[in-house]
Amino acid sequence: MQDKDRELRMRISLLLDSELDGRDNPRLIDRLEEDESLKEAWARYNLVGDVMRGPGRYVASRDFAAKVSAAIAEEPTVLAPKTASHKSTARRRAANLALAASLAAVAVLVGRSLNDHAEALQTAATQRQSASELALNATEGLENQAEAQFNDYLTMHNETAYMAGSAGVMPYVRLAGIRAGR
Amino acid sequence: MTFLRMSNFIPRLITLWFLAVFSPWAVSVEGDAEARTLLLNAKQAMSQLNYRGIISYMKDNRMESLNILHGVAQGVEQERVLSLNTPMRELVRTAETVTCYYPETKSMSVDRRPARHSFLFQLPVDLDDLGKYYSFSLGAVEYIARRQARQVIIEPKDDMRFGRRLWIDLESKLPLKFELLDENKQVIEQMVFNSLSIEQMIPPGELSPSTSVDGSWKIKQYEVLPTDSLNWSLDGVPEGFRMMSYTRLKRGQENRAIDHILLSDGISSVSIYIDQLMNEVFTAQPRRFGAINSYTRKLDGYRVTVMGEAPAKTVQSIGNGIHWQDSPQR
Repeated sequence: MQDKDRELRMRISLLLDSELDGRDNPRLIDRLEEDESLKEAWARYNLVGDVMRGPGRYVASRDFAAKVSAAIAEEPTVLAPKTASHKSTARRRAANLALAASLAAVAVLVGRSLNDHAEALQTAATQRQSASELALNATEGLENQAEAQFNDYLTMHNETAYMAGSAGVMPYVRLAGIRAGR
Repeated sequence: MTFLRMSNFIPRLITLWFLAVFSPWAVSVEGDAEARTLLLNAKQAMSQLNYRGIISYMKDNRMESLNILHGVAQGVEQERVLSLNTPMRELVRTAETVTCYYPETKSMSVDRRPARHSFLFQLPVDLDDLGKYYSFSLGAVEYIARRQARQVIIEPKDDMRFGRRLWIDLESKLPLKFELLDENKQVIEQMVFNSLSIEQMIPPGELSPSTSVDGSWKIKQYEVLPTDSLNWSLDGVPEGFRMMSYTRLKRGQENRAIDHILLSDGISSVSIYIDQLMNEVFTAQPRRFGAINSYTRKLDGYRVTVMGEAPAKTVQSIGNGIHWQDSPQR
């Protein structure tokens, strides 16, 4: 890895830990949006964070990476379509697999420091599932966060529109009906 | 004026009179006036009558049931709306406060500004202003909740707003059914009374909140800001929308400030949220949630979200027209 790349990844890690100077954030986020490899790094670092925050759930045995790699090798090859407009299951699965592969290394990395007191996970199949779940958890975590914020905005919109007295019909009925998690 | 010219003028005047009285245009003007009167009657009925009912509220092919109670004692209104399905939210309005209970997040919002608006139905006092952007007309009489109701159609005059249809009870003047229509005149949100009972009085106990709140509940915080302190210029706002409020929300453990600007044309509202761009990979995309369209974009170190019950092009136009006043347009 080149020094420039290494420095970039270091800055992403700092961004994740809220330790980056606020003025640098927008430029780095621009880079993140444009660069697929950086996006992957971002996802991996998020997973590291999740693993570190949840030791009881995410600890893996030392041969975990090898078992996950073997399990992935048994999977049929899935070719992700190039066009961005098709969010097919196949593509999502391919993305999950890519994350699972990189996750194996992450789990081992973190597992080494936590593993001594933990029981090894039972089977390769379980581990493969856990890896995929972790990858999904990271994505879903971000999605849930965005959903919660969207809900908050929606609630405030309806509340404020009502109080301003110009919301037409149903400002508060809409509010009573908004489901959590939408 | 010579006699000859006068003799031409009189028949023209008679023709114009006939056209004015019997043309479709005249009928629509008459319908417009009746429709406006019915809407104002409905607004009055909502605030003056004692009633209880069950409402079905539909959006995104999902239905919610709500219980509504409205009472007036010595001219003071009280209102309570209770969600009958999960998440069991409750809204209570008294003379001084409006309180919203959100049991699923153990949070509540309390607004102490006097609120004299119905939870269901709000209209500006002056419909003439609204008439610049919407036309009003009458539709057929239909039965809703076993009552005869006249349809009132509110149609936008441009493609920057949604249309509405209301069915107003001929007897009580209460609005019994409501539909919000998108730009293709498809119903995107609907509310209808399944049952309605107009009563002499509603016992005060039934208008009190039933949600029990303990010390673990949070009260949502926000700060009202003077509108002239706004440092954002809004260049893409369609004609007729005005700024109704400017507030600063406090969110998260660190009390992060989020600016909230509310715009309205009288019956359609659009909110603008300006938040700091945090540690996130930004994904901008238009979204639709029932009647609400939203649009998010990045602006320097900020994330701007625009949402409201308006077409996607309206929220996008507003979102793309936001600029920091001290900086050149981007």
